[in-house]
Amino acid sequence: MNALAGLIISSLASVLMMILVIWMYLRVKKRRIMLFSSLGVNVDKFFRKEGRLLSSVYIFATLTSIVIFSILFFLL
Amino acid sequence: MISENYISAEDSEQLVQAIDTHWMKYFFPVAAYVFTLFLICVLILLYYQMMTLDSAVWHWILVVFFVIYNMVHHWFFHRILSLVMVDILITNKRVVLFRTSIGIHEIVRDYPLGQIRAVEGKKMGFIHNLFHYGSLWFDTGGTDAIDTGSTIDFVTSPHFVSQLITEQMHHHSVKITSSGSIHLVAGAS
Repeated sequence: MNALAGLIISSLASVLMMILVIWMYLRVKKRRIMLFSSLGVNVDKFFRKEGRLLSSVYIFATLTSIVIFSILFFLL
Repeated sequence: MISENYISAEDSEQLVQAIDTHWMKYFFPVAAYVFTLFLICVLILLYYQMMTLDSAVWHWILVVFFVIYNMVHHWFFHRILSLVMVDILITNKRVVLFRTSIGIHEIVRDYPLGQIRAVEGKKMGFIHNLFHYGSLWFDTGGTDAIDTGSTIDFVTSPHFVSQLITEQMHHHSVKITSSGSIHLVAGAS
């Protein structure tokens, strides 16, 4: 196995890990929203856009790191 | 940050306050992440400066750095997304604490007001006082202030929150008195 295969496998593992973490986060958030709604909390105000923003940053940072390491790999 | 002050129309249980924890909870994971990122950049640069290595070896070193970076990267976002899910709800009957580590554990700690003996809001040190946050400890009898299970950290204005809970405990004990169960009042006050 050469280094390129290593890079591709690590990139795929990274993307899968990201999908797994976001999926688990959304599951927890869904449960929390149901519970909070039953207690009368204004869920839109409470959760705001914090979670959505963080998920977007997570996706962006993961993909950017893959691109940067790939560029370094082929350039150097 | 105290983000919600809404009273439910429900007669049985009314929400008094829903509280998110302080942004300082993100500080240590962010510091660790930035430090690791910086370290990896410096090491890559150093290896590149000493470029007497064979190209194949250099590529393998890069892959190893990529794997290390990914481990820290996913740990960081897992931690941050878990910290977002730490909340406190105060109702006229109980205090509910939510703590989550996504995919690992989910703790919902329910303190009925009648079982709380005292609430202690603590701001310890310069940083706590500067940023107005601290910890809350619930004395339910049988726990002490170093018991992490009954303590919640990074609470914004802990004294205000403890005062709010104490007021609810008082209202709760008055209600119990008027309904005749006097022996519970002693435990609640």
